[in-house]
Amino acid sequence: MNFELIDNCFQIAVLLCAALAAIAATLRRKDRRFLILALFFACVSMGTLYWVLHLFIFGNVPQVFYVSEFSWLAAYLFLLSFQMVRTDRVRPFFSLPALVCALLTAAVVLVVRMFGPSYFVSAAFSGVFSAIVYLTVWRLRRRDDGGLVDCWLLLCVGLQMLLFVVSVFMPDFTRFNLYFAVDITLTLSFAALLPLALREVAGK
Amino acid sequence: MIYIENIFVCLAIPLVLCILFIGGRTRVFMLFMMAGMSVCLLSAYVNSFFMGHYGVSATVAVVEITPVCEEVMKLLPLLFYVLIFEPKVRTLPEAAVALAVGFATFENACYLTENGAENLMFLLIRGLSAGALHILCGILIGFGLSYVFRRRWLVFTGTMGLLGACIVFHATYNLLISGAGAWQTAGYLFPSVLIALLFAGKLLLPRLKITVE
Repeated sequence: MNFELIDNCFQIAVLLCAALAAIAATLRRKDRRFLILALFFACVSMGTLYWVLHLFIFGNVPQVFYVSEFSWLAAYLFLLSFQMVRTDRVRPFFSLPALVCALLTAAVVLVVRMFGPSYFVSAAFSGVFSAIVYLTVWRLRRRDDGGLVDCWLLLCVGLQMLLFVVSVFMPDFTRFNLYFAVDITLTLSFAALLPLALREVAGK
Repeated sequence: MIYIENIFVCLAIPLVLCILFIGGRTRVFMLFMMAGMSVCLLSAYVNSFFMGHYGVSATVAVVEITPVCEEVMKLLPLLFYVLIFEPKVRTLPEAAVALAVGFATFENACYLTENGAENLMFLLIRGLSAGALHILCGILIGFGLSYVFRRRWLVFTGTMGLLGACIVFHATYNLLISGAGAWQTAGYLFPSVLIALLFAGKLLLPRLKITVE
């Protein structure tokens, strides 16, 4: 079996379980941050599920509208919303290092067109990624509580960007290689956001 | 070829007449049902445009274009309602579900006109799954918007995120029912199973005294 499919099925299974666990956490802790995390996990796994099903049913990848990209973009929008809710009661302020990091992220995503040939999709992803990076670096510099979750979010964004860089150098996606190692690490990093968020809520 | 404008007129006229004589929340519900039907009609035009523009087959359009166009079109009346009329956010789920019901009803009416009404069993399965799918999307958008519009910061990211979630959910259903055999069965089953689970949750959670703030 093609290793790309194994990797995708692993991502779908892990993140759907994470989504269910996040829903359970929402009901138990009565905190909507976990619901936003559940939507993030669900969107990542649904995007991958759509991609895999398209491959299984039609034998090719989507050609017109990239529905999976919409889903992954929605997932990162939920991740940004998660950060916004965590920063809800804090007055935002300007931070030059945060802005530099955000602009650098946006430039990398836009210049190398990390998410395909469409300028619209690249611009949308660069906007969302840079907003997440800005908010996270700003929070870290402010030495707010929940620094571990912030560091982990930066790691997730970094891994997502690294995944693209690695994919450029990998000619074969049928066998295990560095690309899949990064992708599996990224999946597990996403899933680890839930226990970290639970720890943050329990610590307050 | 079917004359969907004529079907729309036939279905919409009783609703328009009824709106003249009712008021309050029922009127809003009926208005959104009619808006859902209108959106379904407009979505058909937009879908046809993109289908012609990209020169793709009906199957590709159903799997890749239709979910995007339909979900975007369904969101627009709700956004108009929220931004212009500024209603109480707790009324949004009701409006979103009414819109979804109107959309699903009109879609089913067009499907019946195009494919006939001989096979009751298939129509039952198809009606249940398509209805459940649109209502699930309506519930997600309605409850989601009612939350994000309470927090100014979240309005843009939350709304776009919810739209993306609805698009991929709808697209997965369309993809599965476009397949054959087990894929199609799974496609018809999964919205119905999800709506049944949601309904069970709605009944059970208050009994278990579980609420979400």
